[in-house]
Amino acid sequence: MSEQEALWIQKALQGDDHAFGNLVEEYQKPVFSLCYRMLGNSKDAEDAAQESFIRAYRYLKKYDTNRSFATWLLSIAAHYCIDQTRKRRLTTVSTDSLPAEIISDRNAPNPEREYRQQEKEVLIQNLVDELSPTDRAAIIMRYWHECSEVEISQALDLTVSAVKSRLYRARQALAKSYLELEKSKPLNERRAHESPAF
Amino acid sequence: MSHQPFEKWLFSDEPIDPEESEALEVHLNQCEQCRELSTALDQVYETISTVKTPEPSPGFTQRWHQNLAAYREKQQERRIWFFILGLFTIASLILLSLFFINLSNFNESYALGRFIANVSLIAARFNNLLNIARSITRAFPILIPVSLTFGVGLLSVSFALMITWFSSIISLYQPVQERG
Repeated sequence: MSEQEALWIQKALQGDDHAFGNLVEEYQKPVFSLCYRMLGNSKDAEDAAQESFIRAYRYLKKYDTNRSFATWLLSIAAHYCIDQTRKRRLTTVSTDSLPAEIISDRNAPNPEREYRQQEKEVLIQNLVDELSPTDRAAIIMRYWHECSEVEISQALDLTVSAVKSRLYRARQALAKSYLELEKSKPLNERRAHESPAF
Repeated sequence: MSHQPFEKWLFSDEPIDPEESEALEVHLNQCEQCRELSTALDQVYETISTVKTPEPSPGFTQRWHQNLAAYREKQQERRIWFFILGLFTIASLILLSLFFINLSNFNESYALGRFIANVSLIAARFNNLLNIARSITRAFPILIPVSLTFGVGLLSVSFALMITWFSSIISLYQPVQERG
């Protein structure tokens, strides 16, 4: 944590909203990104990220300055998103309702590249969505936020061995789901991705 | 064919020594199932590293400040309601205490006698009022439509006040964000 961040936290603890606003400005992207990967769409991600920052502001007194502030924030966001995902399981979510960001932009400079990028986006989101909420949070923190297993264990209130086991299970599930998706694709679509030598 | 410990090496984050790495490579050349899984995992890693990081729409911090203000307003309202509830609880406790203190002096037959006497008194006064009203209306018949109009008007005003009171209570209970 930088000196500037420590100062903002100190000021925020004294009731300075603008100091905490600076922290929101600084960490909005990682928190939003985690919420987006957990929930799969911008609207829910925005609400979750906003709520996470409100909770962080409320519980700032409980923040242990020996821990990374970023990990602490991600922990709050991850717990909130896990709860939301569990609540959401009660309602049916259609996989056809793709997030607005991944709908093809025809005015993009390279539409084909853009399309491939969006295809990857949909693919990875579908794969991640199949994981249990806690496994999903662990994988997102590990690969999108480059958190260590220790940091993940602190953030998700798990033991390090539990995190290792969850990550192992999640990697296995991701690979198997990817394989199933590839096998279910029509042959000509699969060929388009293969090397011309075959 | 046994896929262990190769599958474990494949999906674990733990580093493997050169001998294990060589054994894994040999197994992958022989086992199609593990080879497919290994390729799939590499593809997943590749996809994760190439997808764009989603970003919030501009003005996120301003929206957070607005949400914080709304949250505080809601907290303030909650505190007011807790205060009212606290007062109500204290008043109820005082009344209950008074009731239990006086319970030892309570005489059932005396209380029943007082109740019957009070009811009879109210009935007699109501009867007197009716008689007075009958006499006035006999003497001045014009007063019947006037009093009827006044009564209906009074009832309408009371009803309107009641509706206003109910709607203000309902709007006070609604969350701050819903009210805008």
